[in-house]
Amino acid sequence: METWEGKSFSITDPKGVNTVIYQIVKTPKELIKEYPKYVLERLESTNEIRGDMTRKTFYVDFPSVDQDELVILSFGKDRVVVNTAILEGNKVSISKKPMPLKFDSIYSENETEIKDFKYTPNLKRPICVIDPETTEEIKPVLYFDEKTNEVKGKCKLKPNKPYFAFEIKDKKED
Amino acid sequence: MNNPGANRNLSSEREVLRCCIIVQRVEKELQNKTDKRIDAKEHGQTDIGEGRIEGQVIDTTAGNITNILEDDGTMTRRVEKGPVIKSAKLPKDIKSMKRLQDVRNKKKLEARRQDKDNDKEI
Repeated sequence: METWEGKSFSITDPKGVNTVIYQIVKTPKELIKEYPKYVLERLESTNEIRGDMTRKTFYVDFPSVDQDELVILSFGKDRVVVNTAILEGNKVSISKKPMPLKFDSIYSENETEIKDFKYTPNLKRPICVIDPETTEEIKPVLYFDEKTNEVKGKCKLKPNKPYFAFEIKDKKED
Repeated sequence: MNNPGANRNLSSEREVLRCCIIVQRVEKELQNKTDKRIDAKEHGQTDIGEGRIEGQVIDTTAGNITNILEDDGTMTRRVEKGPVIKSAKLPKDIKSMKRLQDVRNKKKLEARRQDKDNDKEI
């Protein structure tokens, strides 16, 4: 048997809002060849219904010695609100201004921009794709690409349906 | 472009690419907000303010839990001063995540010890 300390904190969501949280785990240098630089760990939670509200308790099972960075995603009917937070000791500090993203805003993108964008997620550069309706992750299916001789992952997405996806990367120095 | 079937395929492809565009945006915005954090408790309620979800309350005080990993691979979370709240089989990769965390924690502890030793020497 093994025991270790974790942390928990709660968020109360109003009706129609569903919050999920990810812990950003930075890979130590000695393991960087085996893992991506940052690994996203989705926090498990338990729900408690309080009238129209839902109080969710999130569990940080493996907190760091000093602090942990968190990404808080609150999914509403037509938007997702992105908060970043730091868990330090028993205090959760959240971003001053959250970032609301409306799902319909992406439809204003013109085709030129879409065609110019290239992105190949792989095991060293994972992205997290979430279905906003269920807040469940869309897990990639691994396949072998004979052209590049590599194992790759692909996500099956339904047309005419919004998805939310994100990755964590270092800020580029100016 | 008048072929409905072709449009459907195009539409499907666009959805994938649109999804990717959001990735780019979040990335950019997260970068801009890295250093703009507040202790919500010091600023009153967390459900008021630009862009916040009305009615949402973020409890900014975290509590301690004790995780117990049994020999059979089941895990129990025990909330401080509370009952056992969960017992479940761990996902396969959680042990490797824990190893990762252990390495990281040990490294940071070593760094702290080193800093303290350096302070003593000064």
